[in-house]
Amino acid sequence: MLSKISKLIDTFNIKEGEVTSLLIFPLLGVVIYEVFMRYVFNAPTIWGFEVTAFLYGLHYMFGMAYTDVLDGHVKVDIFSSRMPPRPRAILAMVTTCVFFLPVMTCMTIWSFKFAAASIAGWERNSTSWAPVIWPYKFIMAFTFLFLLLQGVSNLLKQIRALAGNRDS
Amino acid sequence: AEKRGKFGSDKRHDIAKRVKFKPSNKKVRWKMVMPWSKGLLFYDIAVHFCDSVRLASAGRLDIKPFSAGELVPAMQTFDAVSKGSAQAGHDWPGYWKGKNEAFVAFASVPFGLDGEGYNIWLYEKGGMEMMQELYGRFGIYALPGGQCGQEMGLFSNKKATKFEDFKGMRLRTPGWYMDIMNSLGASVSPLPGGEVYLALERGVIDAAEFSSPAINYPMGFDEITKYAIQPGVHQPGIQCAVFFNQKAYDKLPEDLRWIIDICARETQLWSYNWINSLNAEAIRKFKEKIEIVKIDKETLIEFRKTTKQYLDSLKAKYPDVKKVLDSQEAFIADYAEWRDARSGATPWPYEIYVSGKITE
Amino acid sequence: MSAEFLTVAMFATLIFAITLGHPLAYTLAAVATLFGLIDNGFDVAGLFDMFVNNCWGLMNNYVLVAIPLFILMAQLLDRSKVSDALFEALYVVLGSVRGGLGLAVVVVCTVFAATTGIIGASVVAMGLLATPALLSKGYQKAMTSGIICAAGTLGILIPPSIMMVVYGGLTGLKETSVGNLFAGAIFPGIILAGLYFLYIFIRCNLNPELGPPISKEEAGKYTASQKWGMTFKSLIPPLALILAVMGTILAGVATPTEAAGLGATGSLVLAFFNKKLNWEVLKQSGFATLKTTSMVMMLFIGGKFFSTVFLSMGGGDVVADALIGSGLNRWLVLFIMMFIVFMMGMFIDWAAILLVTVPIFMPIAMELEFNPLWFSMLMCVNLQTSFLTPPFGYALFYFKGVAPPEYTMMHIYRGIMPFVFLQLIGLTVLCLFPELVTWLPSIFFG
Ligand code: NA
Ligand code: NA
Repeated sequence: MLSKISKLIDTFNIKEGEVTSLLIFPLLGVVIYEVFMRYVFNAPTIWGFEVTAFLYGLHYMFGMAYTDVLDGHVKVDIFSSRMPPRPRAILAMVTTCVFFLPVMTCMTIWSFKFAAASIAGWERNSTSWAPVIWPYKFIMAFTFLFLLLQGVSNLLKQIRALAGNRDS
Repeated sequence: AEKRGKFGSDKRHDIAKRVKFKPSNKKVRWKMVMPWSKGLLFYDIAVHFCDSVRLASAGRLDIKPFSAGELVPAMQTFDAVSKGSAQAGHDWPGYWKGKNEAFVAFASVPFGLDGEGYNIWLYEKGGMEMMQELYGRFGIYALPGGQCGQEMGLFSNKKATKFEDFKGMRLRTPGWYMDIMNSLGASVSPLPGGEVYLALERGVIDAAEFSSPAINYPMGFDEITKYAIQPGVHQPGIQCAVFFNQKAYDKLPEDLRWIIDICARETQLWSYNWINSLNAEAIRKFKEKIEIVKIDKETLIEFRKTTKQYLDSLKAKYPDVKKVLDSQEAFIADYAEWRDARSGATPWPYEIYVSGKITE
Repeated sequence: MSAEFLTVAMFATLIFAITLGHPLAYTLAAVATLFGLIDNGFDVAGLFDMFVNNCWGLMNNYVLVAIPLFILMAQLLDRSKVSDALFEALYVVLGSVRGGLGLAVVVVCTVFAATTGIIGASVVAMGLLATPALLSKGYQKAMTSGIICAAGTLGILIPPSIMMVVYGGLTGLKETSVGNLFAGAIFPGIILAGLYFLYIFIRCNLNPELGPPISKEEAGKYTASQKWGMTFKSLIPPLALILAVMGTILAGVATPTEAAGLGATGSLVLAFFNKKLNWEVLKQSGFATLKTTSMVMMLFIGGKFFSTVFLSMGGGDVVADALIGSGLNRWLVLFIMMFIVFMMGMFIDWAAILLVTVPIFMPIAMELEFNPLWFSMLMCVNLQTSFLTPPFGYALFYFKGVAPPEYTMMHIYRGIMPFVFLQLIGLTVLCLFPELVTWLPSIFFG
């Protein structure tokens, strides 16, 4: 059961990351288009810089959980990697529970509040183009939720490792 | 004949004579956030307010200023104070355009109020109450907190004084003026602030405006451009605000609230004098490096017309903008008689005056 | 609790916490949360509103957009194998000199450092490409690892570089704009490359067993003109990319962010010409780009939380008072700051170090009237050591990941020591001759 849940979360975050990783290409497209329009046609867009920044923000925020599944977040494991498996699993559980879960739970809650405050005022960006930005804020909240879920999945895996019924 | 009394009265006096102070010994430590980096004179204005409050309260209210990015990113200043992450903030209200378009009207309006105008409109004509109503919707108590006078016009590599000159000109200016210039046929790019210098130097854009002369001077735009196109019609008066989380403000003892009120006014006064005295010096220095050209009269009138159309369209779209701009325009109209009656006494140097230049 | 106590306690807690092996970014955020709550009287809402505001600000930071673009560029370049041709050409050109293959690695890495903004790709590519050749020619293992790790690390100093992008994004000063930092890093990068080159040449001539030349027959396979032909031909793609990135910045066609986009496009074009452009390559480059970008940005988030709370507590003033207020000589203060960065470099990664130290050290450097650009460059050159110093060094891990199994961590640790020393010599040279940093930016950007 636990392993099913964690596998489900892992699969979801990997798929989610693989899809959003492709945002880099439209991002590249917008950057090139803006240079081209300004330099060649003397007609800069009013939306180029904002769209670029938005795409970039979405790209890495969605990638937080994805990178976590793939164990890509840098850590100083020079000491813990020398520990025997059992104490290591206990340590990992403790750090997940003490360092990760409280902070990311709060980040998720408060980023949803942040987005809710934005939608309440139908907030727009303070620029000339002035696109609505509350959807973008909601996406930020969801990326923290995904990351939090990934932490839960990690915890479930650590519990299983501790219980000793490890499979590959 | 009708009987005439004194023509006005100081409304604050009515409150002041009734105040019964219970002097407090409570020590309060606050944090202030702002969109200013330490290199900008706006930062000094925010710090001046904090100093004034600390001095006047004998240290009982200690507001520690944090420059842009130290606690929150520049553009998150408003949200941070609204939510209470910091108790105080300093700003140029136009940055919060996305929350409500009317914030821009409390910051500067193209062809709108100048420094004198903002002072009178805010303090005497109900402007401050409108401002407090708007900030109040976000749980913030705001006061005018710095008046920096008129901005400089465009630093440009293209000489532009006539209407046609602005057609196709590549320039950088944010906000309302960007839309106005676009409708005048310029091609305006909202480059991020940090990119302006490089873009201007490399010819990515022809012209850019930033702020008032003294604030512009350290940026060195004069070293990479040939002209300063005057006047800065896009911002005749840069109005800043100092603002507080309402809950934190409400918890203050009454004496500290009065200190905040009086220090905000002192900051408004000091900043205007300080910046303009520096502006005079800065513009002389600019003149050594670049040519200062003036947009001609017909072009200014055309700009004014386009601006009115644009502002009218904003008023039609946003009731809050309409309320504030109508009030500002009513004041401008009210004040016109006096402005005309007093004109002709501009304190030019003797030679300039006697050469026939008697108005501004 | 006094600000002094909290400042020391916060750093001590961080040092202890990171040794527990939890991802660094989360650890930074957790320590920031603990001390943020102590500082603000356990106002959870106030603290997390501030954190969320900071995250949101990062998502709107246009300067940082260059990061994923430079990473994408490196990923595409790596997959289109453009460095292979240059190494093969230099193999025969320089191979007959003592230590020649090592010199070839340095040259290839220097050239490609000017096209990519990160280090992983260079170290991995060279580790895969050059290690077998160096081993089969009898190069000493420690020496080999040192050469590849150190030269591969040049990618993040010689512009373009995401380290400069992060730095510029952190300070927001005109003097330390990304363009200025790029221009300022050119000479320091070349100086380090030159020091590596000289060192390998001298060491191998003193002791030929460290790096023997290739055999006469192998060297004689090609005529001199063929050798130079191969070299020039293989230099065209990287030079074209250098032109696309640094050329467009300096010529004013593009902002640094846009130049990163042009570079990425250029590498797409190169991949196309090398017949490596297909859906699989695009997909894999995209995945790898996301993973690296999010890793850096997650650190950015954690580091931002940490520095925010640290400054909010008054920690910045505490450090500044301790360093400036005590009336120490300004050069001693500089030395202390550099020493702290060097020590941190042993344990933490560069992005976290920048995020934690720049907001504290930059104001001190400005107060002491050090040139901000020069000071920033000292920080960046100093951080070069962080990739190599044990126990935690990216370059070492990347190399270990691809090196043949007979390379132990001890070979690698021993091998990089002389290069760390060379980096410190380079740092000293820049200290003594600030013009090496400030001259080029003054030419390009007035
Ligand atoms: Na590079
Ligand atoms: Na290290």
